[in-house]
Amino acid sequence: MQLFAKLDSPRTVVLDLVTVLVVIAGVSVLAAVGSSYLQGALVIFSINAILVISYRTITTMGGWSFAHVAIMGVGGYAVAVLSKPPMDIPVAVTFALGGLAAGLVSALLAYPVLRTRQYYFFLSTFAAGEALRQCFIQFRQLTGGTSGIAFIEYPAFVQTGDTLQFLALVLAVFFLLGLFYLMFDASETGMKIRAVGLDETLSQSLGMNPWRLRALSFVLGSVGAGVAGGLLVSYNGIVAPADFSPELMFKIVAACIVGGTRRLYGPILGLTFLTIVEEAFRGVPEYVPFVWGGLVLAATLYVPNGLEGLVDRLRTSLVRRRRHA
Amino acid sequence: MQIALNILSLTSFYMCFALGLALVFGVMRVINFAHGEFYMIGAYSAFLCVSLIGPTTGALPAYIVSFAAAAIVTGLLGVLLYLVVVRKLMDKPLTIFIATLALSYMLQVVVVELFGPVGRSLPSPIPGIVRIGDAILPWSRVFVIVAISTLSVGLWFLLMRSDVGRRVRAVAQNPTGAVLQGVSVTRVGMMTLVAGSMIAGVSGAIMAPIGGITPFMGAAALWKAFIIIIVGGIGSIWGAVAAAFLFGTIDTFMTVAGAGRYLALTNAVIMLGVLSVMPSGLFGEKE
Amino acid sequence: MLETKGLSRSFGKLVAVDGLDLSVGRGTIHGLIGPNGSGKSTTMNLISGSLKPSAGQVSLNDCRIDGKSQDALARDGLIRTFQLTRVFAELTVFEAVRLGALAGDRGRLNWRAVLPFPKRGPSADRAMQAIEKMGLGDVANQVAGSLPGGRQRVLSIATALAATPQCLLLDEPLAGLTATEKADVATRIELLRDEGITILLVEHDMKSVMRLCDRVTVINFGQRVADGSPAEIGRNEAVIKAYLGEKGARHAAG
Repeated sequence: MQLFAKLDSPRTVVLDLVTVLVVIAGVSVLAAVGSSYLQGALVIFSINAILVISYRTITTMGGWSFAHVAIMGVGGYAVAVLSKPPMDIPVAVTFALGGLAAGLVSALLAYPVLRTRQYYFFLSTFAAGEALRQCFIQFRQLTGGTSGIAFIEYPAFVQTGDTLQFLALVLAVFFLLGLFYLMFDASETGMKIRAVGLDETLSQSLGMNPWRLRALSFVLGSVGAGVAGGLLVSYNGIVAPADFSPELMFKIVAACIVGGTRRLYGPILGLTFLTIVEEAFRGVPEYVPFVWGGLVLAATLYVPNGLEGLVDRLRTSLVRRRRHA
Repeated sequence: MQIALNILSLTSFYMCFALGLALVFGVMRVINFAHGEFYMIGAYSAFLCVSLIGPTTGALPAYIVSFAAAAIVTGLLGVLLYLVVVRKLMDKPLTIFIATLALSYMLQVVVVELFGPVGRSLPSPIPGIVRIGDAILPWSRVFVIVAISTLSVGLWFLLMRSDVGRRVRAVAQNPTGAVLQGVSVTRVGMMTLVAGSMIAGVSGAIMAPIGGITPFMGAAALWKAFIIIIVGGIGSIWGAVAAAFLFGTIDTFMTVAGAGRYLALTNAVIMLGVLSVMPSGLFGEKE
Repeated sequence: MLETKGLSRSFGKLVAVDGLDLSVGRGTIHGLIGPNGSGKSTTMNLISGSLKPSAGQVSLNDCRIDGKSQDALARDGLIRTFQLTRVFAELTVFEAVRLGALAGDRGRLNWRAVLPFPKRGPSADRAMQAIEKMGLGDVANQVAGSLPGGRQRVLSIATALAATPQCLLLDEPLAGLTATEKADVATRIELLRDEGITILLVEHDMKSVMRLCDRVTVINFGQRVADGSPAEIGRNEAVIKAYLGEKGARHAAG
């Protein structure tokens, strides 16, 4: 029990940090030896990794948003619109602006959405996300409708067409954001947010402002999603509403369910697992949602804390065995 | 007049979708994300039924039979959902939501594999149009309105007048009190879930000839249903009816005004506005 | 220090609290007692801001506080505990109490907290003090949810204490404790008063109330029945009637 209950013991933070570094190292090695197909898949995986760690920051406050991917889209469209004429802002700068735009939209959504709890929260974020997606489709003058906006460039310092260089950029962003979220999580504010997630009534009675703390984690998580959206758009060279589909949202949620969200490493583990499954079923992509669905269903029914829970069980049993020896 | 008819037709469509969802939530505090897929499977059951027996019996009787078929299929799915998922996760609403979300993807894949990703269409049960004054309405829509009204009134009678209904309402209002009165909450819960699933299935069957059938029709309609039950107040069946009417009216007027593109945005803004002022929706119970 | 004037709250037709006047002196332990359903819990909820009064006012240090949100009140120094024990069950005792110490601070990022020395900082010191004061030092590193019910109850007081209250509302702090624990916790509550913390206490255990409180208010049907020192209350006939009913009162008298 104790091992995973100690949320702020240095050892667990180290485990998170190690996971982030292992992912970066693993992706780098695979990319160095792999085919160009694999390199492309690794870029997408790394972008999704940014997405899941930013999503986890939102879940710490106790609510599962279903608008995350749509908010990621806000970042993506911001990059597309701002980097092209007439704005012509350098792509690297638009990444940051995309993150800001996503943060701004989420801040606007936060007021109505965060007044709600449980059922209302996930239903209203679901509906809000869907409405955002409809906006991408309907505001044709700005977003290009269903066909989207094409010919978006890499940032100037990445050579056009060089997947490896772009991957290095994504990994750098992943590392920085991972570090940031980890520090935020272990900060006093981060602890308070988790307290609100654990017991809102108690937290409020002690003097925390639950709405403010929830809004903060919602906005910070959304900024990460916006940056991930910008990277995706720049890598694809095109942005379209289909990039921010409910299926991607499901993948993110599934990664968090299968992996667990107590620690930062959980969702990354979950995402890695799901991605491996996805690649294993590459020949029959239409079955992938079925397999993911089955995994999520199995996880909810039999492994409540996801892979994290399994890791913890493993660690406790190891400790016990060591004691007996 | 034409507008009034359109409002009526759209309202009935929204209502049929949201009704089952609101019923299940109101009684069990469970959101069934697979509701949309049950709706879609209801439509496919109707499709199978009508294509099989339609040629021999004629369109209208085939449709009536198809409702029963849809109800049986989705009712069985509801039983399965209750036994496998809901019973085990009873006290964890979010987990049920996620589990049913996962289930909805699985069902979608199964249907795509069985019937292909391309949509199907069904002939109208009653061809032709009806004129009321200078307004026109296809018979198929009249059929939908009548069928859904029957369904809603039937549900109302079941809830308000029957012994089963009394028990269901008792559980919805006060589960602990209902237990003390000797009502089996689990039995009522299962019954409600099955009833909600059957409503979804029958609604799918009713709507099949109008909207066409695709494996993704449930997912497409689901978010609208969410907005309706949120605005109406989760758990309040009559709130859902009122919200369905509200959005039926708004959407009809917007379409007439040529602003149909902004429907989704307007709906979402209305929902967020309502939540800002009344976090429990228009007719929802206070937390 | 803490006062209510004409405090009322009704739920539909039921009037739970009806024109209650209450005056808690600075640095005293004030008992609020009454039979089940007499409106004690509602009064606590009204004072702590988790319910809005239908009429009347509440003031803390001569400032009106009714209508303020619960967290704002807590930052003003009015902290409550709950009748049904609430603790951060997933965390260790130290972490749970530390959250109490952190709660009142305005959100400020503390980058030092990510360094692998989580016990540092003023909030950690305050948490340790509160833990020692409530006698939980021996279980500081255990998971809160694994403690027995009585100690969880004490932990909830320690958590509230770490939030540096001027005024503490304790809702049945002794419920579910053994006789030895009761005596121990009662002594600790007295120590808190001696430090200058004002305490409003709802409690069913009459012996402890009589021993602890400087002043006691008795309510029934949401109204004040009596107010005075424990000794006065013990003699008051209206109180005996409220508790035992008419018959019981006659029985006790005769």
